[in-house]
Amino acid sequence: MWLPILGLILGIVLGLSLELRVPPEYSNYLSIAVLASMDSVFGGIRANLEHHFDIKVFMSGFFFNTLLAAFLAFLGVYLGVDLYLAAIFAFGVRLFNNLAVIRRILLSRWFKGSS
Amino acid sequence: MKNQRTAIILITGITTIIGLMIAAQYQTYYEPNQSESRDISQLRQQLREEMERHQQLLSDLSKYELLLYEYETSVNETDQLSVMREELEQVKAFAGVKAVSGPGIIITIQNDPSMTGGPDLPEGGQGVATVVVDEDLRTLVNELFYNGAKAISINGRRLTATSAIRSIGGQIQVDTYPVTMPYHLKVIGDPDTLISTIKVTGMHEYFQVINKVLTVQKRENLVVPPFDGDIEIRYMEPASGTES
Repeated sequence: MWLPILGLILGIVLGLSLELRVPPEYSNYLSIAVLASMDSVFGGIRANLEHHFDIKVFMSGFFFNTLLAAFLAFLGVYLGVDLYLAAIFAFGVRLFNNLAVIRRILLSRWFKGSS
Repeated sequence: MKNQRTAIILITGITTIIGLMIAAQYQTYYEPNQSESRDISQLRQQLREEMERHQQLLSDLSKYELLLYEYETSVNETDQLSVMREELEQVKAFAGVKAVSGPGIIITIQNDPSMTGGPDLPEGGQGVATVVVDEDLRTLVNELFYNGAKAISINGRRLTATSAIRSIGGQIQVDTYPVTMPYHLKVIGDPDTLISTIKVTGMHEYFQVINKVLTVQKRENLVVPPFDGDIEIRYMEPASGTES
């Protein structure tokens, strides 16, 4: 279970040591990509805990959500409307929903295990 | 159980990607945030430092340009002599010790035949000064030089930087050489400018008052003779070290 956190630390260390830089005009896209990935991660963890994890759903969801968010951001730049906010909003809401479910599952398991 | 392991591996892969993206975003935005958090005195300090650096770079630039110029001149050392010779010729032309040619005008000052009836009529007969004095020539020459004349000769006597025009015993002398009526002034410069100068300053009227006629001829190629005396350089030598 600690493997994802290890992966996160590994990614950060790798990114810092490689000195990855993104042009400021693409930071919108990057923030959305981060959010989409986090949404997928929490969705995956939740599905995993609920024992209905499906690789196809997970991977397709990850790529499709990321692409849609990137497309919205792209469209927003050309229309002069911050459409990527819609993606951020949707991802953010889902992130907290998933986190809440994960928290409840873990809490119930913890108390089941202790009692 | 196998399903769960793949899920964890996949999630790990994605968290690694998230880590990479976060690091990239952080590195993109960290430095601008740092620069914004400084206060005004720090910014002023930095501005001063940058200005000093700018100054230093400028002085470096001029230094290297000078060096480059030196190198170029040393490369063309054989050309240097010819350049110096050319410069010497120019200086000579400007100083008046060399004949010069170019576009210009010839100004002739002579007695007005219709007013006096003859050139032999004694001057000053009507109690009015009807003789050209040094002052008149000086005024004319002064106006011409001011308006772009590059070389002037009066009756073949070239004016130099130290030339004097003065009356001695009712006779006009240019640098101790006497000049007499009629006066021919050869002036090199832009002919149109010089002609309009003479018109605007009222030189025609000026000489008409003393019964003299001033005629101006435009020449495409005029030769002004050199100063034929000696130019002695005494009491002075080129000052070194100071710019002014």
